[in-house]
Amino acid sequence: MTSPERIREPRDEAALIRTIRAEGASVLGRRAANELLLPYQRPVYLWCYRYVNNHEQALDLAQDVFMRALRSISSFEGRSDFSLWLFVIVRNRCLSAIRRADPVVDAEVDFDDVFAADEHANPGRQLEDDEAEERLLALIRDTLDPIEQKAVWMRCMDRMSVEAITEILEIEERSGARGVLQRARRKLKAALEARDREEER
Amino acid sequence: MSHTCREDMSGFDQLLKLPPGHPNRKVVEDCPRCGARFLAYRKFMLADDLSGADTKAAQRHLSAFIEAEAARSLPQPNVSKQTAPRARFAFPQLRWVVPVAAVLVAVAIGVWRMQPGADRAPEVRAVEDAASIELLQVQLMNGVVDLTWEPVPTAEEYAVRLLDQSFAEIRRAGPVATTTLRVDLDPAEGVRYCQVVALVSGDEIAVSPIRRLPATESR
Repeated sequence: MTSPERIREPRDEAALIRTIRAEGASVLGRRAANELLLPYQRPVYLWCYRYVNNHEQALDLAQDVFMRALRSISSFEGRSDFSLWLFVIVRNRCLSAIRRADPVVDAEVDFDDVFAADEHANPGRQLEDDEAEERLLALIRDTLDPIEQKAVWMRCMDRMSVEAITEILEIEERSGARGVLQRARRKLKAALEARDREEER
Repeated sequence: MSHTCREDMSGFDQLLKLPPGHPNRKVVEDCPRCGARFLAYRKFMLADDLSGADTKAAQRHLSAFIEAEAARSLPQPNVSKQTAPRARFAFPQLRWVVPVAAVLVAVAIGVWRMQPGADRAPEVRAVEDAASIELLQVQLMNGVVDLTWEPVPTAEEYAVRLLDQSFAEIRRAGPVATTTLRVDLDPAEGVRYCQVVALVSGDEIAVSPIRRLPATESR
């Protein structure tokens, strides 16, 4: 496993942010903004690319992320690392872009039909529905092993591609996340059917 | 070790600094929701190469973008350092009210921050509120760009920024009170990108993402 500290070069991000806030669009402020954001160009672009799998679209998304970051930087209070704050912007931006796109359902690894049996746990029903999220969480916790749980979560809630899930979870089996998601589908279907039989008695 | 599943990602930055296998990190990784998000954040930070992605070209493009955008998005520095003459206090007998109120507010903020989770949680949600305009259509036909966007409730009017390949503003079209605008383009201008801005009394209150003009004309 590669060390996650790899991109953390020793630099004082808090000082750069203070300069940006104090100097705004002056030469000093812009220089500080460039210096702050430079190491994040690659991670932001790659995260966007994971979602859209297209260079030009990934650039458009990444531009939007950096624009939002620059416009909101005065509200950043340093209670988290800048990297996490930026990741929240990237993640939300990619999610909203993918939700607006026409969904392509892959019957082997998507769960809408499985969760149709349990409409309260169906994340496709209403993604902002906290109750649906909690129900889904409880269901997959009770039914699936840890890797399957995370793969299902990434697929259903974070709308990630099978390839992205394989890469993020570092799944080494030949079929990657596809095999894991198919297995999870079977288990969830069986668990929901068993629960229905139980309720009918 | 118990784990309280969190709906946001607060604290993930600190967890990432712990070595893999650390009990505090493991307990989060074991939760389906937190684990999925934490591993995603970790992958974001690793920034491993992806097949088909052109990171070198992306970095060149984004460097130019950030350079230009910082000048537009960051607040203008104060031009004048002169301070206004001090206003005379209208009610000298109430002079103590302001410092006392400031102390009370500071104490209230301090107490609030002592609540578990209050210190970090809002930070990772704050950017959600950033105002933005959704572009519904950018079409190019016979040298005319046709733009349509979602309305911004408080906007009085809108303008369209036309930018060159280094994201510098060439000119603005508008303002208009509608949410659609057709702009004639002169090829000699070199317009490559456009952006809608929402205005109130001439001040920007929201912007759209910057969009590349379509390379080929729509039919």
